[in-house]
Amino acid sequence: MKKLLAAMLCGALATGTLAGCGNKAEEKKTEAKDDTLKVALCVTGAVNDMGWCQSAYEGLKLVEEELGCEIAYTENVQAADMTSAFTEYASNDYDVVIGHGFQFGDPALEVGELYPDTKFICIESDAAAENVASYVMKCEETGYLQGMLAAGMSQTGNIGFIGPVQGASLVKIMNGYEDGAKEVNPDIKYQTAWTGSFTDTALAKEAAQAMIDGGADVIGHCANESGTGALNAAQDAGLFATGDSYDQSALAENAVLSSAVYHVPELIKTAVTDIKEGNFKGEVKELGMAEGIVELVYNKAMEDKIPAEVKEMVDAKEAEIKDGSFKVPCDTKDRAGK
Amino acid sequence: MGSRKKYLDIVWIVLLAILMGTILILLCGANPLEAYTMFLGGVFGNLNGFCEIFVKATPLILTGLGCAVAFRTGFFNIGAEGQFYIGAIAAAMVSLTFTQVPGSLRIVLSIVAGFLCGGIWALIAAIMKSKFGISEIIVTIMLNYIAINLLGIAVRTFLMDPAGSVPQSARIDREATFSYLMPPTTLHGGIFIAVAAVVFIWILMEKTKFGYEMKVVGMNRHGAACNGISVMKNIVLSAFLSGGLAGIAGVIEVIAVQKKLIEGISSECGYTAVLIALIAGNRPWGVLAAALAFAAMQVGANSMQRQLGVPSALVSILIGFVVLLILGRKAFHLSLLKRKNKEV
Repeated sequence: MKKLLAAMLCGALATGTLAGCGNKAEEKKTEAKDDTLKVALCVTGAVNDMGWCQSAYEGLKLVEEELGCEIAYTENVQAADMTSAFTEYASNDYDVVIGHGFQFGDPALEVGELYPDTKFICIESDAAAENVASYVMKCEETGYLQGMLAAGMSQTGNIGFIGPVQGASLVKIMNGYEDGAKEVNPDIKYQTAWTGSFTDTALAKEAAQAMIDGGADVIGHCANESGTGALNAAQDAGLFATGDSYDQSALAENAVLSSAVYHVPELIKTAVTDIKEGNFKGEVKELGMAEGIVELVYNKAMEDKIPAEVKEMVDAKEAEIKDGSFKVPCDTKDRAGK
Repeated sequence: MGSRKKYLDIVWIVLLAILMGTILILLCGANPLEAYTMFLGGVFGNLNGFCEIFVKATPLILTGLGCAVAFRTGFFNIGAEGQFYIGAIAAAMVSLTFTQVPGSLRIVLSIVAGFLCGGIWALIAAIMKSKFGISEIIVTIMLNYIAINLLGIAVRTFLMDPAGSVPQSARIDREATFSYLMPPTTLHGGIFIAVAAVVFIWILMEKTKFGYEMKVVGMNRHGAACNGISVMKNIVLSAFLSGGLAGIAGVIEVIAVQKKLIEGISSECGYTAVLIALIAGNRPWGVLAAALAFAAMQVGANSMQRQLGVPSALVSILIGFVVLLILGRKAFHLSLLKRKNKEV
């Protein structure tokens, strides 16, 4: 089959070069045009970054395997090239174009207007139009629960939280953490810091150490890769920490109480499934714990360190969030200034 | 004889590039034939790809032209990148500040402001060179860093979109931006400005006294001075023109492509411009051809990458390789010539 395709393409190339190579590409397009969705993904980094971009790529793979879509992707899309990457996919008859990150919101709106037949999906953005939808994970929900847990575990009434860059999708986690902690202990001291980097592990460790020196005894973070530094600082000091993005128990076994896990592949699958089944709506769609997109995972090795009443309190809140009786406030304004 | 040799060179370069590309694509585990079909399909296969060439070529033509003018006068302006950024900042400031001014007038104002600011940015290096003899290569490169970070500050402070938390400016309203000429493609009117600039520079350099003086200064500074041509005046003039052209490229990128100020807006075209000017031998029409060819390669290579998933690094390697071949061919001929002479 592959050989046949190669031979056909060879022929297409040969005739194409002779005949001005205009019409051949179109012929190929109609061939692929049946009811399989063509899905394209744009990410800002490498698809093997063990983090944000890789999770999207895994989602794309999932879509290929489980929904039988035809896939393509581009790595390292810089801000200035987003519009042209989107246009390229849309003009090549892709049905769905996914931009993985809030930065893709404006380019999606721009290109969405030019290509009304293509659906654009932005992850963690706020863009919405006729054919543009944003899928947002309610990371503040796990942030809130982790904040409650941190406050429940803190002996000193003083906790710290490390964030990387003040993007809306990260600020809401930091604020959710604070709100959760304040529900348990209204007088709690909440130290925060933005390191300005997703990758600088040493800087995050330094920031966490400063908080520990300032009396914090539980450290939280939403700092991607660099958060490892915060976890290490807590472990070295014999204190507790909470993890983020995936199950980080193995990184600091004696410190990590729990981790917020974001199922990005499932999120992308949900988005594409919506389109496939004709349920697409041009709106900002928020998916959280109730939908199984965001999850709180405990560290098995530390479970006996958490007092029963703290665990019960967090579990009860988790149940409330899942059945919708409690809605975690989503505050995307950075509070560090005040 | 000479021109036949030139065409032969191009055939060799294309063949070598295809060979190199094939090896790289095979290493990535993709099918080279499929990849090349994608390449050609990306450029000629659909209207958008074809128009994208002109969109991508516009800033390259303008910055390349800027470099060519400066190089001709012996002013090695490596600062097109920085001048581009300054032009972009100026355009965003004008477009976002004077919102009561009608759109088309604001476009003209942006272009003028971008030209002046880009020009002044280059002028700093020109004055330092002609007054104090400080190498313009170093000064322009340093000014690049300053301009790039100036934009970083701008989009975080005085030009930051008040409604958002992302480091970028607000969107420029539609009336003050270029509209798309042939939707659904992203083709805009910038290419006409670029071509007009080519014509203007060609007339200036080849048909006027100004251009003649500049060229003389570039060829032999002392000779020019002895014949009563002011070296300083010409260097300053060409630097200003050079920076201004790069500034306009920045303006067009802001008001026609991105429609707002963002970081990394130039896609490093200010550095590519140096290559384009070199390949074109600093001739205006050569710049036009080289920029179009370069843009076509980028579009084709991007399409190859986007649809087959070959790593983006491959594209950069290929482009670098082709440039190396083009620039290296002269050295190759020279060594051939030497060997021939020895044999004789």
